[in-house]
Amino acid sequence: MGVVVLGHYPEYIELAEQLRASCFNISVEVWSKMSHEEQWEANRKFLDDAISRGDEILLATPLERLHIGSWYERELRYLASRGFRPDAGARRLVLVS
Amino acid sequence: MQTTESDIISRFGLFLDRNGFTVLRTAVDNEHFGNEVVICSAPCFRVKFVKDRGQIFTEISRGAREPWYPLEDVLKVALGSQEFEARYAYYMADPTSALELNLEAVTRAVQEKQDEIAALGRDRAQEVAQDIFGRPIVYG
Repeated sequence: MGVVVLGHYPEYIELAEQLRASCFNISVEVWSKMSHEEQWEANRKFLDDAISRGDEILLATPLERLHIGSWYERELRYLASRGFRPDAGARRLVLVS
Repeated sequence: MQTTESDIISRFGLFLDRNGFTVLRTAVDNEHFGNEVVICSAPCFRVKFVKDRGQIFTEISRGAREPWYPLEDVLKVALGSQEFEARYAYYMADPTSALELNLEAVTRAVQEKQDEIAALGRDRAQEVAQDIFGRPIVYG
């Protein structure tokens, strides 16, 4: 079990580096050659792997600064569909059974 | 993080020059999706363009060490909800035009209505939490 950080750039990278946690990452060379569907498939697999491991999921960007239509919003919607909800203060997601 | 050619500067360079913005910081991160951050200063506020996994977002701040707010929140306060909602799709598709057409109103809002902008962000966060998770955020 580890720690995964989600959010907008650059906060999620900075927090992940600070905590030595994981974040979704692909180099520009690979990312730019993927279709939108392939990009989301890779992103979703990263989230599924984190769920399988039981990782702690931290939010580096507060919902006040969530950009509508962003990858970050899509990640949150996916995790909500898998039963995750924000804890008090909404800086991490917890699985609600 | 390495600095190489900026897609944001390529796209918005003319807008920045035309409106007297000074580029304070440019960072291009090719190890992470080609993400970018470009921070620029105008006489009365700062603007930050962020390229996050290929999507570009715009945020506004009153100055150094001040909080950043999404452009849409600043515009909503600057223009009023009704006018902003009427032009929402256009402004979100072309944020530099939204800024350029409303520079004076944005400047006034950033300088004089920061509390209102921050409150709008908190309200929006609750709406987002309700929409995505089916319940509002509970604070401490």
